[in-house]
Amino acid sequence: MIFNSLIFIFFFLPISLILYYLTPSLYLKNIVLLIISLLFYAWNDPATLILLILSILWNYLSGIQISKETKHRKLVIITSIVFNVVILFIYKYIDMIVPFEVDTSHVPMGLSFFTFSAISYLGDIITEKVEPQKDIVLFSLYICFFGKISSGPIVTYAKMQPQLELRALNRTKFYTGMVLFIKGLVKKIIFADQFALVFQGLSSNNSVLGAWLYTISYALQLYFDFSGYSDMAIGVSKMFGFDFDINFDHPYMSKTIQEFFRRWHISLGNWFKNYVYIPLGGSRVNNVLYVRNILIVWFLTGIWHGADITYIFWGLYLGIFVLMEKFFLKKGLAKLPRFISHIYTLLIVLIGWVFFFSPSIQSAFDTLLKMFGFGAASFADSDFLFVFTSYLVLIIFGIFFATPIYDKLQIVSYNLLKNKGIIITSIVYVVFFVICISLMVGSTYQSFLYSAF
Amino acid sequence: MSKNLNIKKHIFSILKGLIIVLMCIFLYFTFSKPQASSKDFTTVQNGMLNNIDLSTMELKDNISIKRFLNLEPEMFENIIYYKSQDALNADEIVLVQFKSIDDAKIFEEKMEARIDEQRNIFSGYAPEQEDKLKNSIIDVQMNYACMVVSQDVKTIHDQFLRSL
Amino acid sequence: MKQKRSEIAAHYIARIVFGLMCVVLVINILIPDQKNSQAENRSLQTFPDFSFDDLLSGQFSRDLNNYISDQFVGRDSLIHIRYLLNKMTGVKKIDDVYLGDGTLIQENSTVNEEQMNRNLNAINNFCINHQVRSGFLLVPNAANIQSNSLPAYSNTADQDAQMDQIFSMLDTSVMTIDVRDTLDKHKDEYLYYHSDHHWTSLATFYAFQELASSFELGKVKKSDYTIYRVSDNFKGTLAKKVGSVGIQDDIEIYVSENLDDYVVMDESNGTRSCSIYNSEGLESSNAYDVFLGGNTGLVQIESLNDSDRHLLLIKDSYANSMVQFLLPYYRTITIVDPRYFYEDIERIFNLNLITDVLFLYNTNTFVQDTSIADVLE
Repeated sequence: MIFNSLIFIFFFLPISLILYYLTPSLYLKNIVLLIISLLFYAWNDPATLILLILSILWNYLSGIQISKETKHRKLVIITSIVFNVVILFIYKYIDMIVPFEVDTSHVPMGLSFFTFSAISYLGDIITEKVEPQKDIVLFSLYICFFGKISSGPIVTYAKMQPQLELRALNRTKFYTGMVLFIKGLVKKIIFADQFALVFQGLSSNNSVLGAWLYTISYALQLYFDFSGYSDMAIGVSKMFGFDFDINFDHPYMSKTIQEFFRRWHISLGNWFKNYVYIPLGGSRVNNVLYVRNILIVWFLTGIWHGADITYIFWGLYLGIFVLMEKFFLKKGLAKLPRFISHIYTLLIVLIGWVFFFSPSIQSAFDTLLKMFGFGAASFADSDFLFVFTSYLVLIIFGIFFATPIYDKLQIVSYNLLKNKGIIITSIVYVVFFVICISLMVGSTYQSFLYSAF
Repeated sequence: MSKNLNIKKHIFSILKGLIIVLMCIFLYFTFSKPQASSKDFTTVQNGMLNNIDLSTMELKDNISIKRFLNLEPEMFENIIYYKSQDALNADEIVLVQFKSIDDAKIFEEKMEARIDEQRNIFSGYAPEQEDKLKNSIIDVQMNYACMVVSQDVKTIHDQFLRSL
Repeated sequence: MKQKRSEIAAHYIARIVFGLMCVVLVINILIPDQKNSQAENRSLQTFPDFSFDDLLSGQFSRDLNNYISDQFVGRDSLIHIRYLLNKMTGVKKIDDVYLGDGTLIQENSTVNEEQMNRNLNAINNFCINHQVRSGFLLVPNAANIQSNSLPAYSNTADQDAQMDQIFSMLDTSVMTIDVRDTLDKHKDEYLYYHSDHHWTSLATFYAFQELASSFELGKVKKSDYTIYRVSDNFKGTLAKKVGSVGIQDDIEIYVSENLDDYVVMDESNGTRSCSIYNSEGLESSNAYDVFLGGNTGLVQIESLNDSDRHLLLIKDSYANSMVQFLLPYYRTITIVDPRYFYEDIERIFNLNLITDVLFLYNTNTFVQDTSIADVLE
């Protein structure tokens, strides 16, 4: 089941919320939430529930075992973590290794996300940042809480643990969560899904501007898709009393690639930093090892997104820019006006996305060459103009909402219009919610991009 | 006393070992889906109908496939449809090779609808035919599928599976 | 202070939306399932049957998703909202339908080469073997003739090239009746419905004038007919597809002044009527069905005129509005729609002493047709 579906919004969510809030104690509430989460998980593919449960049991036992074990500590640690990695590997990367055709259509939902959560839990136990969770209900809830299992954010155990045992269930949190959910829904349905149409409409375009719009529409589609879904996840979680950190912070406003990854898919970046980069020594090593560490992290970031050479290329490409910035680029950029840095970042990121969405390195270079005038049949053709004029309003608003201008405007409107501002905002949100529903009812099923990861 | 302690000490490893075993079983079943057959249609057709008496059956054309089975013949890579010449006999054999594995669902639904329709027609006055329909087999094996209503349904189905 | 304001707004928004969720949940459960959508002209998913197989494969969940979407309360109105949002933001195409100015136009279909070759071969052989007067009337579609009603920069398949190719592949024994020039001359007139993919009776009339001259039926003028407007709020297939608002059509019927009595026998449904105009069809959700009541495999018309000509009309739905013009000239008209025809065409041909054979198709349907060859062979 996904958040942006009618069955979730008008069936699963209201019933879950009602059941949850009718349940008396927090202890019982957690049990109810766990049952709901397991149901949510089993919804599309019941067989995968077995895998989830086995993974939960394994990590539950491992957590306790690691904290107790003294004799074979290293062995236990390695096997505990390797189990998770192997499962992930089998489902995601087996295609790359095995010669015969494997049916990979039943990848368990959120595998990458909950596996990473489990590894982070074990990691934090190893470094003694946290105590193992002995309550199986609470631990299971950490791994499979439906608010974050399908596509993140990847919440560290340290952050979630106190909330499992005690969380404030006040109305403001519920309301704020709902508003955030709607915001995410609007991002996904009105922006991401429509940008997807632009992207598809230009897939066989042969003009320079067509290639640019093709790439830009993907950049916006991906941003609204993933940040929208993250907003929905954080919003849903808030409605059940959990406070999770934001996962996207207007990444297209970044001035350097380093900054970009502090703003894009923040929880994934943090995970790689804390559980790969820092254990490898981070930046507190000599230059050679530092370069190695960066390249390893970026290689893994790339391959996390998919078992394709294009993703690896994308990851390493960005890693190289991070290195260049560290060693000399950043100083150079600081001397230039800020908007130059901004343009530089956008350009590098856009070029990176071409590798991200292209089916092969060859086709990625074809698209890039087209963007810069080589191999394009024209500067602009009628197909490009058709798509551009059809979706101009969408493009303008998409770019607008990728910036923090809207949030600032919101604050200004509250200050200037006071109560009228409240009414206007409320009406706007409700109207856009209804528009989302109308688009969902009318459209064919549009699946969330990141759900394959 | 020491035995209890030992088990307690190793309880985690034992349980985790169990989990590994269960996981392996689970993964095995997940990944051992039937593979698409590389045999060509004529081979499968001949293998499936080997030694089967088709003298009372007729090989039907595309119009009949549309009319009786409610299928669009162009949707498939290959399709043959045998129907009994006798209007009061429910015998039918269908063999298809799919262009895409996604078409299997539609084929299955249409065949189930056909069997239901036939059962409605024959129920109450032709118990033999109704029995044949009850024992009918619809089987999808990745890129091949068959529907068989016949006395020899088991043989035909076995031969179908073996010829893939 | 501003923090509090956003919280107050959140208070209203959340309550309204949560309320909506609960209300819709209850309504969706209480309201009985609809079997068909009037607005969309298709059957709707009903509550899926439960089976363990389906549950395990995830099919049950998918069907349930479709069920909730299809049975959603206010679905028809919501689809109109989607249309308005698209139209107002400048989007010019929904699925394969262009949103023109006050009109909807379907994009041109691409050719299914293999099938089309098969069909043309079958048509050629059929006409060569039977040695009677044979004609092929291929009708261009709206995107072709009224291309200036298409939104700017539209780029759809080159139907002229397709039609030229088809005409060139026909055997000399088959008369090609090319109505493009005629329709082009009148292209600013009401030739195609704004909400439907069919042509109007007016366009059919102009095409009939061409046909009458090729088939030596005689000359006709508009004044030879009494024109009745039978509908002024026809919302056709395209309107239903995109959920358009404010686009509807008139349907006109042309009744010839020299029309004798006739009987219409729908052989596929076993019904008889004394008119080709079907009032049930007119009242239905697809008013174009006023012509012949829609599409069936075999319809037989017998007239009490003194013609000695017998027509075999092999067609798609575009010909439905042509029959009204053919009535005075033929003793019998045998109408075959290959998509629903399961009989023996030779038997039909001989039984009715056919003197004229006419194939009437619109290009979009013809280039994708998969039934003609099977019926003729």
